[in-house]
Amino acid sequence: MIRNVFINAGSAVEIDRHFDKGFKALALEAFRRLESSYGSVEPDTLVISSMAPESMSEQIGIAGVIADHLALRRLKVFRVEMGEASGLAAILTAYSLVSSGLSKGVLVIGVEKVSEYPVSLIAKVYSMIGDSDYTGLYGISPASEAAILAKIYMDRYGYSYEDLFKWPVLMHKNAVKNPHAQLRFMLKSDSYKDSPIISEPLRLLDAYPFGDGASALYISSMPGDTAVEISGVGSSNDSCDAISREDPLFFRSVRESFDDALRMAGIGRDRVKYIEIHDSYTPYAYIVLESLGLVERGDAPRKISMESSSIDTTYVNISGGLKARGHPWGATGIYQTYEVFRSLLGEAELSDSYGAVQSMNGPGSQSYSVIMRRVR
Amino acid sequence: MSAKPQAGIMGWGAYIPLYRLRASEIARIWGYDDSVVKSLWIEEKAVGGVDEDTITIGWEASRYALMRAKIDPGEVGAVFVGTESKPYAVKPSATIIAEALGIPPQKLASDLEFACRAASEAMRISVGLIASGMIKASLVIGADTAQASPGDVLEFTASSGGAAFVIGDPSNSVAIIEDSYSYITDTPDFWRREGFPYPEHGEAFTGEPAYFSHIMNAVKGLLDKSGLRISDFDYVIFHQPNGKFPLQVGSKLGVPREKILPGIVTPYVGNTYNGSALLGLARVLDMAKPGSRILLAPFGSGAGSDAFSILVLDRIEERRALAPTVDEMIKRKSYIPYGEYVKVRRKIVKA
Amino acid sequence: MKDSAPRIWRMRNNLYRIRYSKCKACGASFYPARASCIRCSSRDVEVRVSLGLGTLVEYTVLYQVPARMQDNAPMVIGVVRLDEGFELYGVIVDADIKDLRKGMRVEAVLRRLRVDGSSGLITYGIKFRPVIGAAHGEGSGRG
Repeated sequence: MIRNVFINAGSAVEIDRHFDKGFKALALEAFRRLESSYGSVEPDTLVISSMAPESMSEQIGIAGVIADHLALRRLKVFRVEMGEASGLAAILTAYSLVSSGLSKGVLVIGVEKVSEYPVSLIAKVYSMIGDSDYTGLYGISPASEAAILAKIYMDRYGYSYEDLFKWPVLMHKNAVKNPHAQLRFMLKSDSYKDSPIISEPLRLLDAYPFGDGASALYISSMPGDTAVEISGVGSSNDSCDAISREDPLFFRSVRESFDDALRMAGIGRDRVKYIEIHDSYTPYAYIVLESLGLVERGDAPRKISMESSSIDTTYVNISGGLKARGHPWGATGIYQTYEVFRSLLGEAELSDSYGAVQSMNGPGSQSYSVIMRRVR
Repeated sequence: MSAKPQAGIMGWGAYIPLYRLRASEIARIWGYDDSVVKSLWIEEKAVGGVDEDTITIGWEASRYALMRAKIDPGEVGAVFVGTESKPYAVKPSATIIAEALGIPPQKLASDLEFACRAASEAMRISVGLIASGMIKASLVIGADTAQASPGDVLEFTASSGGAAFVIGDPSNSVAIIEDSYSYITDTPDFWRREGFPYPEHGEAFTGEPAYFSHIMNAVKGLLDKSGLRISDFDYVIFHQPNGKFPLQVGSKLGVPREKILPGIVTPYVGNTYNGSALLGLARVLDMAKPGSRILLAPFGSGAGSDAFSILVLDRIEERRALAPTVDEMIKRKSYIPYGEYVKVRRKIVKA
Repeated sequence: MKDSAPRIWRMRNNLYRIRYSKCKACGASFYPARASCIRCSSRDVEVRVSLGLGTLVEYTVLYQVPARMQDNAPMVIGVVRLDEGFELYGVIVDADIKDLRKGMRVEAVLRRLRVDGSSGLITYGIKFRPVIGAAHGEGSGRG
């Protein structure tokens, strides 16, 4: 018997350079905040999503260490790692554990320590998200791949760099209102001029900031007093690199995972009124919006305005996105899901609609989507 | 001619890195008078890029040599790398180059060290291996990223580059190695101790008792042995630590300047050590007409010299266009300042 | 962590030449080599070695260079379309940034990829540089 799956509670720690906290302290903080907002939970399963604790914290088996630190016992313990998409992969894992009946209550914590080393070393670890033998070993970094895709995009659709820079401006504006966002300050439309180039034409302001974070969700088969139901999940994959695909500007796995989730939820994309997307680099925001089918191919920069966070009637990245909320790697998908969960419960406008989360590793190399709605 | 030719040059290839450092820039940094630069006849030198070393330079030159030799890498039975700037003190450069070129394991492969003449000796070794029937073809590489202590007069010339030759069956060669002769003594004119990055040298002592004495003895030995005279040669190529020495030794041997100048490359690319005379040979092969005879006399400190008599064959015409010429690589250049030179040549100590 | 000798040894065939897949069913060529065709899913694919000559299709100049590659900064990362009909990302060397242009002919060359401190291994692999002189011969990546 397939059981319904609900998100009962969630929390998020401010994303920042938490020099004074290791992954255990961050995970504990997220757990405490979850319990203080909801009351105590009694999970039978702990799922930790974390991308690179081996490289950043010299830790293998991180889920067991966190379980012990939280003094939780008699648990099924897992760590889920799918690069930058680890968080949403962990949600799919929790979903399947609960829906199958194997688990009744799953505590999911996404946690990542990023700011432990100098930028060049962080960039090297982040370069491992692709096929290292092909790209990482040569110094071909995710930033350089995003830059190349940006140039192909601008060339094909006739945009200038300034046209694309609307996205970071909008994301920073949104992040000001998000209490756990890392970059809570406004950008001017020409702020890029003072921003160093990381991989031409992309500048530091086109990339997500490096920061640490932890976010938690309690997922169970019981709706409780107030709850958001996970109505659909989807996942798909593609080549690790974008350039060997027939069209590098269309992230097929993003479309497939989203379509699968919509089909499972039994809705059309027009019912999704709020979505958090994976915008690690400016061009990816546009390519993802187009791959999701929310805008026509090549239209995304025209559809985005610095004044409004919605495309047609769908709110996009109210949080500030990876760009300004931040992107603590393996924790990001949990933050995104928490943000949609919180809005569905808190915003009257969204009470009768669906929210969605899109996550991916690399340029749509592996993709995950989740659709949810408020049920109580 | 003394003996029946038993080995020939099947193909040749050269490689000179893109970057150049002007001698005037070195003089400016270290406070040399312009007359020093003039006395050496050095205009600029080639500088290997940050990701280049003897192995990558040797690979490039070898690739061109194999293209001109028109043989399958599987036919190469020996790979010799003459160098004094091995990327690994222990671990052969030859194995890496051979593997990257697709030369199968059934081969000889070694790095040889005899200052600037190790590759020259590898040529003589190869003639012996081929004449004996042990192998069908040998790949001889002379390549260096020559070291010089910053500020030393050596720094004006020490450069990066190399040349490679496929030595093999004379019936499929572009030139015949008619005869050769070696002259070697214990002469401490230039040395580098194990584990130390820069060589030391005896300044004026590197001249008469070393460079001049050994080359002249080798050339005279070859002439005596072969019965040839200087006038039998159309081109004469000597080791060229600078632009002046080869002209001076030529003058002592009675060689007209015009026979030496075509093989002079050091004033434009610097002294590539093991590639020095061999780049000169490559440049002469780029232009020599069939029937031309070449006298080649490399020199290596320590000290020794080899003299070769090489006769150019008709087949050379069809092989030239198969790879870039030395002049194309001399013209391909990008000037860098001294600061970039010390960075890319790893002269800055970093954590 | 030291660079692994077994890894570099094991990878040498892929480091020293461009090995790609050619699908015998639909004719597609692609890099890196894979067990099945990425276009038609046919298992009937074979590994081939590229001659290493191609055209620069797109590029970026990377300034945020990952650790251990910083001596190479800035790095030019390009998309190269090999003459055999597939595209890959490659590091472009020996090209002045202001002279870079799409459509430029490039060839595969062996270069140092990275160096493990002053006592560890040196990893060599394929990068690309503008073709020297006229288009010569059959290119690199032999055998």
